[in-house]
Amino acid sequence: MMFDPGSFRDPSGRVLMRDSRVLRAVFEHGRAAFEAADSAGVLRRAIDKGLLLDMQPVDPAVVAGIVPTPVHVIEHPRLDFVSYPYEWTFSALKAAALHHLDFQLDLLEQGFTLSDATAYNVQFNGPRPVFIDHLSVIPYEEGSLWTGQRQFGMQFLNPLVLWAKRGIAPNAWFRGSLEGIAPEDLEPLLRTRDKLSFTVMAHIVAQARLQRAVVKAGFENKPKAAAKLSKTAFKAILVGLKDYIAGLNLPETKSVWSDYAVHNSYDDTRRSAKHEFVAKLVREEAPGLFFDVGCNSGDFSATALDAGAGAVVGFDFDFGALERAFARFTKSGQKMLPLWLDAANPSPAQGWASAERKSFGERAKGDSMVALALIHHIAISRNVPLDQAVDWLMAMAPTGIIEFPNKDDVMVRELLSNRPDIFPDYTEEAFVAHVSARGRIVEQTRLGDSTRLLVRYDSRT
Amino acid sequence: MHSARLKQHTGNILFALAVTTALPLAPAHAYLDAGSISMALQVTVGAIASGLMIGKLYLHRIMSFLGLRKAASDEAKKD
Repeated sequence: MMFDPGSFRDPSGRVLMRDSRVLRAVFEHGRAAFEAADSAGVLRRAIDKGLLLDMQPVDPAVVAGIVPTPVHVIEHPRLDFVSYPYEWTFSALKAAALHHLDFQLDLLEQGFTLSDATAYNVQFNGPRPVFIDHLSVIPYEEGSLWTGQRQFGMQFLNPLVLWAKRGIAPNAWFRGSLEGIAPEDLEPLLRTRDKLSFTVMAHIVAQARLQRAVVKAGFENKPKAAAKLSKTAFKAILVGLKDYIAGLNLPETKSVWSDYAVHNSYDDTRRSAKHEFVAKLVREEAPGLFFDVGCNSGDFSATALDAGAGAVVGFDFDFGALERAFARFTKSGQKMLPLWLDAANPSPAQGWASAERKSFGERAKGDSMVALALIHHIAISRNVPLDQAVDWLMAMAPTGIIEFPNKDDVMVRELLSNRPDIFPDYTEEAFVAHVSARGRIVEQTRLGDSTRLLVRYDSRT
Repeated sequence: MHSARLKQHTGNILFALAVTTALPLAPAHAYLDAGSISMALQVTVGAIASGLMIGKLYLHRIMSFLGLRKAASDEAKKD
């Protein structure tokens, strides 16, 4: 039995895995707050409203032997996939920010509050955010300050402002700086017109300038005793942030909800045959968790969900496509979460002890997967040897479909048009051999006279 | 609609000016960790945010009364 390596900051409790159960041990330090929230019915009401992940009390004996000895143990349903804010789309980060504020406001009405504002405490069920840290819920004391303000700024507001105002996706920055983007780092990037809002002035500009003024003034004096923040003022800050964030949009995708043109190199007949090939895999394997690698706006994710996949996590490098997917599945209410992934540079294991945030590879364990129109981007655009590309894809799930476009394919020709062909091993025969070496080929199909081969594999012994 | 935006922008600009001109004159807080800095400003931010919220509410009521904006209940139905 092991504690989750990402769960160590709060002495109130820790998350641990036992077999495949997700358990949370509550320690003496967190007893009073947890019992207060639990007995007041605050946690149950939040769960019923969909704000908080479900929980059930279990006998502490299931974790006998752990130190310190827990005073309570609760069990949570397992999330389909744990994702991190640096993998989210703009709309996902925005939804998570609004979710945090809604939950905080809801708690405040009931005399409770959140002890922090970390974005890592929000996860996704499909495109729907859910709060996962039950021990962050603590009784509210009249007049107390909002301790999570800077964290909220760094992990929600600042990345969103950078994205909406300057059109810069914060993901690479956020991934390198797990605590988020500091106001003093963001402020110099904002133009005067970006600052003409109370929220930006109060939460970014003023914070950044005061920080600089403080550093400049030296470190001799002790900070003043904290003043009291009335509940009304606290709520006004939260509502103000909520209104501002709700109004943020990406500069170039104002009509993300509207219809969009699908650009690809297929005609309708081939597309429908390909959809049927994917649907058949899903019907036969009934995967609980299905990966759509190179998901684009989620056409094949939708096919998988319609054919009975429990949940789909899609990955793509293109933020525009991911935005469309997020909008599409938010609208349909289906369980599909689109995440940002550079296949040649997936999220690493990082944070404290290089284990706090898990690598993509550690998390990417699905039941079934599809990688359609993707492998040429890895093998040709990024020079990854074909056998390694096949390895990486097949490691994600024991069953799946990989599409191989050969060198006659128009998209592959396009990739090779401005560079020498240094890929003598990029052939259909080699691809089929690599898949066969790692699993059984269940079925393969060429769509019409297509230059693309679809291979369905099964790597279970 | 336009007057609301104008008012909001005027308010924002005034606040922007107030903050940027006041800051260099503000007493030095010396060593503060980054979290304390955000909290040092919180009471001021909270007071202004409360004012803005009340302002918005009144503005909304006036606009509704003049028929320039839908009443709050209609807005709520949309959600």
